[in-house]
Amino acid sequence: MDKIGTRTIRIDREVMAERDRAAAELRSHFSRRGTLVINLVSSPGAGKTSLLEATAKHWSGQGRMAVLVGDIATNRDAERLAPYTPVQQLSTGGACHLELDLVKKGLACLPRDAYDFLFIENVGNLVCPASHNLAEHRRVVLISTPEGDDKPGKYPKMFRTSQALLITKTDLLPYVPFSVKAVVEDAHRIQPCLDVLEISSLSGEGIERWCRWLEQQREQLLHSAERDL
Amino acid sequence: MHEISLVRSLISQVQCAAEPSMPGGIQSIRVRMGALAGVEPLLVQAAFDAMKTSAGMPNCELIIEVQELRAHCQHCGIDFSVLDFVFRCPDCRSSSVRITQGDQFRLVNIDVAESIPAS
Repeated sequence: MDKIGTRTIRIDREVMAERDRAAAELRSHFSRRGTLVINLVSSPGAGKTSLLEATAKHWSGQGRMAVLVGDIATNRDAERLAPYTPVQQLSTGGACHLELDLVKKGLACLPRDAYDFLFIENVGNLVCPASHNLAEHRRVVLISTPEGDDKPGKYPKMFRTSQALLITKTDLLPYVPFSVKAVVEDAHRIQPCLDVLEISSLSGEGIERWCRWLEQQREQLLHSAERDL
Repeated sequence: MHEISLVRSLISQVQCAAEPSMPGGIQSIRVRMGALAGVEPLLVQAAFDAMKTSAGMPNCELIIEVQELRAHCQHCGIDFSVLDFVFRCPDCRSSSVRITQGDQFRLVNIDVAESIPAS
């Protein structure tokens, strides 16, 4: 009679390797078209949709951007943005983060114009979206002043994997205990290369600078070797 | 909680790799995750336990190795443990550091049962 033994199959592979490969492929597609993809992440209510509204108004009528907006339920954010920009709502049906397949589905519903910027507004959550690459060229994390200045140290992966930090709702700074200096120091401890911008979507302060930052990032993309891949 | 979607990916990779060796059955799966992997060991274990029967591996054990977060200083060249997520070289204080381990969730190996013909 045969005996039962054990055989070890060595794999040594990142569990997300296949998804990362698919994300890289989609990113190259956008690089070739000259579209900079931005993944916007934050806690719920930090002002991602307001930022996009202000950005779309800044570039009003120029057809420069499109938005995919993720939420667990409802089309509220897409309805808010629709008067200013092409937008498609992505409903995760309960999931706490966006995944690449859902992004691809949403892309099929957007006009096929060659816009300069594609924004992906992630589900409000500083934990799970940090582990999911959505083919973005840049990840931008928002912290609003009423949330408190202790966020970066509590969510290190999100800050380590982002390229820019936006401090939003700066119009509330006189009324809330929030130290811009403390939050920037905390974030730079985790990711020294993080660019920092201060913004109030309500007053419009900082929006022009944000749009300039976006243009610079796109310039870098257009001049990078990645475009020729 | 995104661990369910990660465990789903893990199971499909395991099934692909082990297919030719079936029907001996998968006895154990060894994974490695670090402090900056963005996954919580307890939740991965719970998600795996909830999914393993429907995945056709009811007796499979998931072995989780937790890896410390380490980095390499690109200025002075030393390797060091990253404590409290402070990405700064403890020797030269440079913040130009590259993570060398601890930011991934890796499938290391799987053990499959197979029959050994009696001699």
